[in-house]
Amino acid sequence: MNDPLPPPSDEDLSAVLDGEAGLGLIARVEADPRARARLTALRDALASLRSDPVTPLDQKTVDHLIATAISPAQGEVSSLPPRVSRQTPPSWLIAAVVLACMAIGLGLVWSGRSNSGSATLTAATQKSSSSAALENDASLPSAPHDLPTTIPGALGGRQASGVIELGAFATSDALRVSLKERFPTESPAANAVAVTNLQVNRCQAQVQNILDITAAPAHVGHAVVARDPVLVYEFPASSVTGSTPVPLVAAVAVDTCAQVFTFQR
Amino acid sequence: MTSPDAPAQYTEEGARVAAAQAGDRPALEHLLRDHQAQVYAVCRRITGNDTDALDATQEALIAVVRGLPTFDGRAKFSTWAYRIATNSCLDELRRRRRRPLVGLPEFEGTTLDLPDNHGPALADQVANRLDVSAALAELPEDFRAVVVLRDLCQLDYAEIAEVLDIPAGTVRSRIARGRAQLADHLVGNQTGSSERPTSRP
Repeated sequence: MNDPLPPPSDEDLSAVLDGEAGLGLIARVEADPRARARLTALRDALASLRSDPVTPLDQKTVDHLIATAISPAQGEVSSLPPRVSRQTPPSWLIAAVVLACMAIGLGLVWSGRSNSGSATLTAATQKSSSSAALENDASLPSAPHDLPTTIPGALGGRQASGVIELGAFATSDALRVSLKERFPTESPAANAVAVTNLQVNRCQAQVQNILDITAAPAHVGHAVVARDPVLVYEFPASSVTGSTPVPLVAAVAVDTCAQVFTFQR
Repeated sequence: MTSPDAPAQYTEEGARVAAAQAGDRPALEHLLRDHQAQVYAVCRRITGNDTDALDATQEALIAVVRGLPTFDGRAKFSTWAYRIATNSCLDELRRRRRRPLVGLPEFEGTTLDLPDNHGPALADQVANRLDVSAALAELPEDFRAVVVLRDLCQLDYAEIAEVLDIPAGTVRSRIARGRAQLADHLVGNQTGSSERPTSRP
């Protein structure tokens, strides 16, 4: 005596919906009231999904998206460099920092200053060749003295000067809206910028790398979005379609340099 | 050589892709315009809100431009674009998980561009859109992606397998389970899909 066939599964019913079921399976579904009801429910769900089209973007937004996508190219498409991962600093930078750390460590041991603690080592490391080069970027004047870092878990270094404090925002949208018309040129009084030159320059290098921008940012700002520190750069990028410069604004998370948003004004 | 009105000359996508790969900027722009709507639709459905969809779309279009020299034409350009868009969306969702969320995540940033009328159907339209968005948002990302690619983008199983780089059997299984969960959410079926027979062990 043959065992009765099991009731059709959701996978069977899905195959019926896609026209991939054999006649035998279709007959089984037809003969099973529960399977028929389930098939109807699945059909209704798909009908709801398909009857709810995504509202297309408006023309202005499409223009911005395409201009931003093409603008980093700055030349022949086929000559574009491969995209650089935004999460990983360049290998040469890692190697330089490691070598600098080793050299400084050996120097400390040699001079008998190894008991001066990890703070000395950290401070010295931050002044190593590659980091110091980043910190001394002419586009962002350095603060005169080392100041404590105020972002937990962030890289240390001199507190950045020349960075506009943009304030705190509940969402990235709110920050985006605040920058829609223009970039503020000065911080509200008595607001210290809680970010270091090292952080500013590290993220700036990654943004320029990813977007293929060689120009230095015209403005750099710092904001807090839902308690997360964010760096905002405004580059004097040019429009693809015309000769009028179209500033490009890019916001990234301070700790990872991951993109929060990018738009062209 | 490219004339100023080059986009009008391209009637076939293959020729347009080849021209764009050769550095023809108008052709590239035309190509992006042709596909931005489908890229955004995928992103809107997978990410579940306008803001992330816009960011993912921007990332996808940039990736298309960057990756165009490596596109070898073995797959359809649209399938290739879907693959890039889907990966951008999944990346965006991973980034979103690392960010603190404010408010209700599934409706954050949602705008409803409905016709400006005040008839009785308006409430139904709003409710339906919220229902569909919420139901999709409830799906695990892996299921959501295959359902969007199959039922909105009309890709077949083999194309979805190529887009997501997973076996066709996995695609079949995820589609079935995703649709089942979607139906449960939309229809308000109280019977969990785990209680329903499935061919998976």
